[in-house]
Amino acid sequence: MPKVYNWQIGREMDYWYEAARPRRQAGAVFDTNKCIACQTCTVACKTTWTSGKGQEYMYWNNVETKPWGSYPMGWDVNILNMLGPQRWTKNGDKYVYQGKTLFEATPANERVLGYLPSDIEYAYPNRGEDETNQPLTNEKFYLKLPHDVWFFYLPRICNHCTYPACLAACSRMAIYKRPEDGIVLVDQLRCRGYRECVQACPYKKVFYNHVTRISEKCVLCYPAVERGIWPRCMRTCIGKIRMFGYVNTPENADPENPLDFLIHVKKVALPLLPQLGLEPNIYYIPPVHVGNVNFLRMLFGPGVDQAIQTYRKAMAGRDTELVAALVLNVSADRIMTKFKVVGGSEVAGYDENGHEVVRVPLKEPTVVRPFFDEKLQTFRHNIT
Amino acid sequence: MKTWRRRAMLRLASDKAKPLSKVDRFFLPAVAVSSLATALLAAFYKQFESVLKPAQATTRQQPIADVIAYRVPKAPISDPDSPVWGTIKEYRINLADQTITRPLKTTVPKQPITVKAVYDDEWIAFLLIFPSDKPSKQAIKVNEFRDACAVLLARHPAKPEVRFMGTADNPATILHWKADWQADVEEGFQDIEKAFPNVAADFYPPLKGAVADGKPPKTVDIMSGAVRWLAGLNAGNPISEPVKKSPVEKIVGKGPGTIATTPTQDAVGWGRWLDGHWRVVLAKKLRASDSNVGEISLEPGNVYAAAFTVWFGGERDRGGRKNPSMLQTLLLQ
Repeated sequence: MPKVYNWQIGREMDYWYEAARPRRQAGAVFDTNKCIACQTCTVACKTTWTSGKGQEYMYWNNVETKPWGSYPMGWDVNILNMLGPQRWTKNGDKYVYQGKTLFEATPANERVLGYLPSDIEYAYPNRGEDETNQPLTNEKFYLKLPHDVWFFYLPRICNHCTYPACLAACSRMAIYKRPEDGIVLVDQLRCRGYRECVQACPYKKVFYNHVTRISEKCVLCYPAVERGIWPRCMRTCIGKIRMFGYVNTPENADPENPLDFLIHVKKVALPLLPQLGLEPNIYYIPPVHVGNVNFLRMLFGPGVDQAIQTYRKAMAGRDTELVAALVLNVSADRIMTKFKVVGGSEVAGYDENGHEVVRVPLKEPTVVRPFFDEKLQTFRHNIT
Repeated sequence: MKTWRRRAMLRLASDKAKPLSKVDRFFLPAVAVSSLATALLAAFYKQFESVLKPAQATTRQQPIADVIAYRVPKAPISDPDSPVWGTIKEYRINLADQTITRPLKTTVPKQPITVKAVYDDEWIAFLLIFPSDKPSKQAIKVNEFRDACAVLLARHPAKPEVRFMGTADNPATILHWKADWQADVEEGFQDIEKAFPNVAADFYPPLKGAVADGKPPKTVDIMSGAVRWLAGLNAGNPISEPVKKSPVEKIVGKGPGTIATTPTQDAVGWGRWLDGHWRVVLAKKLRASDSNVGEISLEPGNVYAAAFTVWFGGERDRGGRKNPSMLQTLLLQ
């Protein structure tokens, strides 16, 4: 197998094909601290792309509750169990993954280590929703919450990986990564329904259509992206947790690019299960309130501790630039490639032509109305 | 000393004393040298015979064929139970593993398959008989895989790699029978309700209003506007076509991963499962209808390369996970 460099694991690794990075890579940052699992993203995607016959069980976008939620059931623990030990070592300020990636742990007769879920595993997309990490204890007259109860929401779409396992597994070469934006697509004419991609994708974001009998997956709303517009799941996010754009490699990081700033400069946004070796391009700001940091290290890699520290600092008002990048989330539906703090109180986002797309205040003004409205002679309650 | 031994020693002594004649002195070495030269020449010629005299095209050579297709008045192109098959010689062919391109299939079926072949003025038909304890006729659920079998045909002589979907200079014409396609033809399109009888849905765009009683419409009845939500069908993928006309797909391949459905789908066939065995007929027209994309034409009296492959759905076979035979020679007698 050819050797390729995966910056997320800090080393070279085996991959089925030679490295061929796209001219630019579409990606996103999801702030898990702000997600409320309203599933608006899920519905936006569902009504746009997967409301046809044979797609009933498909969720190209889903939001699951961690630690107990998963769709398809157990997708994460299943593949992590198969992968074996996943150790990281620190080399200077860089972490290097010492375990095997999916491509390195592949059995001799396969292309990629993976498994095929059963239809039962796809049957419960909401399993584990709002379940905490511990059971409630039964007191005499009431249920008691253990002190460190936590859970958080993990919105998931296809990661449009730099080294996609689905693409490597397809012996038909029916899956391709677009050189212009790195979006990974299944050629609906070439696919013959072997389901090698469904088996290989560790995130289980390639689906088998029961009626057309071939595979389908998230297309990252490429018709919109081609026109400089955000994908549907991102621009409908009412929690404003998402930032869509283009991600560079660390050596080419542009500090004015909001995604590069969050991922490479501030290092608050981390990939999901980087140890699998796919170099996923959807990044997550880890939840800061989770009691078990080891769980987060497993999900997002060893950079979690620093990311949480940096995020907390910003929330305490000690990092204006980071706050500025975060308030740009879902502030417009146009792709922004630059951002700038303006006058210390506002942040502006610019498209690739340098046109200002949006300008938002760093802190929303608060207006407190008097309890009694003299004009209307009535009492008012302030609501947030 | 015994008498016989003493006599022998005396004779030997007398021979030694006798001088060699002129003939003996020159003739015997000459015979020895010429014999040696002849032997060396013969060995040399044998060594280079293959270079000096390359093998002729087998269409003229008429080698012993592994499988003979017999001429019959009318080939039973869609009937695996036709009495015609009872009169035709059967060939037992072993299936191998697939270890050329990953994903591999490393297990080998214990039993060989049975192959028979006939042709008439228009068609050539093959009967494949292979074991399958439980027929797998459905590929609706994500972990369901169908039984299937195929006949590969290519020009002879063929390099060994032609066995794997042909090569660029010797394309393979493949007849691919699929158990789920046959179920679609036989019983109507095997819709989602076949796998999930209790499926319910509220709405399918752009169908107007709610779906009556939560029961989705049949896929074949979905209006043309809704086909946009069946992306494979909308793209023209034959795998996604709900209205099947034949369980056999005609394909041309030029190497692993290159197979393509031919524009003219005129291959036919039928399978019957009984007592733990599939009996499957696969047939194509002798004269290629898609020669421009590499389909092979067959002529009586000629020899071709052929291979036979089985996919066992119960073993999750699909694509490269299959049991192909070695390359065989096929003679249209």
